[in-house]
Amino acid sequence: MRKRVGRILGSVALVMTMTLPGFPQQELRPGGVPVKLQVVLTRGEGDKKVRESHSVVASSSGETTSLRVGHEVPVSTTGPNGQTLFSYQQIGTQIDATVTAITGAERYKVAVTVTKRKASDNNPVAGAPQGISPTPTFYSFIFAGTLLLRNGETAPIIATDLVTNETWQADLTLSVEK
Amino acid sequence: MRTHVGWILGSVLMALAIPAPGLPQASSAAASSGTTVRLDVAFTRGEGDKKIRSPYSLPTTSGVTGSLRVGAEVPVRVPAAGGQTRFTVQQVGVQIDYLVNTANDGRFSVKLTLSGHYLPTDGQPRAFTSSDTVTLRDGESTTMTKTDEKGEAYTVEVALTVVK
Repeated sequence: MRKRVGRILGSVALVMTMTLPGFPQQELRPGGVPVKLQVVLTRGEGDKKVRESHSVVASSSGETTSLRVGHEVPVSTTGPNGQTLFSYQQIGTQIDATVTAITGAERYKVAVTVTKRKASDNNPVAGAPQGISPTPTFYSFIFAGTLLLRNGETAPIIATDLVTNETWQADLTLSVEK
Repeated sequence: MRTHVGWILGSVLMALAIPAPGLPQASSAAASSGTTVRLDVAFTRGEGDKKIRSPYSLPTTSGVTGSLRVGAEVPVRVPAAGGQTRFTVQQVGVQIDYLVNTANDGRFSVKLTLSGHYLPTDGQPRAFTSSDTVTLRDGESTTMTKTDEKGEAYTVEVALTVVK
C-alpha cells in the first residue's frame, strides 16, 4: 500500500514539474508558420530578357528548405592518351533557404543561396570560332546571403556579367501563407 | 517513509533534468535582429577609349557575410603539338564577398573583396583583386582607384543605404 502511494505521489510530482505554471517552463519555439519565398530570376540585356520564377514554402522555425530544378549535361574532355572522356555538369536552378521568425519583430531572417547555371554553345569571347568547341560555355549566378524581410517585401539582387555585359537580377519576395 | 520521500524527490529531479518529449522545447531558431543595408558596388574598367561600368546591388544584414559569383566557364582554344587544336576552360567573371558591421555614431564598417577575370576585346585575359574595409554612413559612398595585374586602372565604387 505504502509503495503504491509512493509511486502515485512520484508520478504526480513528475507531471506537475512538467506542466504547472510556476515551475521552470521552456520557451516556445517562435514562428513555425508557413512562409513562401519566391525567387524571380531575370537575365538579359535591353529588351531581350529571360525571366523565370520559382517558389519554395518553408516553415519559419528555422528549418532549411531546398529546391533543385534542372538536368545534367554530358561534357566531353580529352584524356591523357587522347581518348574522349565524358563528365556531367549540372545546369538549372538551386535554392536553399532557411527562414527564421524574429522574436518581437514582424520580420523574418532569410538565409538563402540561389544558384542558376546554364549552358550555351555560343562562345562569348570576341573573335572566337563558334560551334567547334566540344564543351559549351557554362554561365553561372550564385548569391549567398542573409536578408531581413517583412511579409510581402522584396529584396532585389542585381549583378552584371563581365563576359557578356548582361544583367542578372534575382528578386526575393517573402510572403506569409494564410 | 524515507523510501517514499526518496521516490518523490527522485521523480522531481528527473523531471527537472530531462526535457519532456512532446512539450515545447527551447528554441534554437530564435533569430536576433540586425540592420538591413544595401550595398551598391560598381566596377569600372577601361577598354581602349571606352569605360565599361558593371554595377551590383547587394542587400544584406549587418554582422552576416554575403557573397556573389557571376561568371562563366568559357572554352578557349589553345595550340597543341602537331598542329592540333585543344580546348581549355577559362574561368571568367566576378566574385564579391562582403561583410557589413555596425560601427560607432551610426556608421557602418564595410569589408569588401572584389576579384575576377575578364576577357577584353584584345583577347588577353585580365585579373583583378581588391580588398578593402571602408567606413560609411547611410547614403554615403566612396570610390577607390586600383590597378590590375597588367597595370590598367580600374575603379570600385561602394555606396551604403540603410533599408527601413
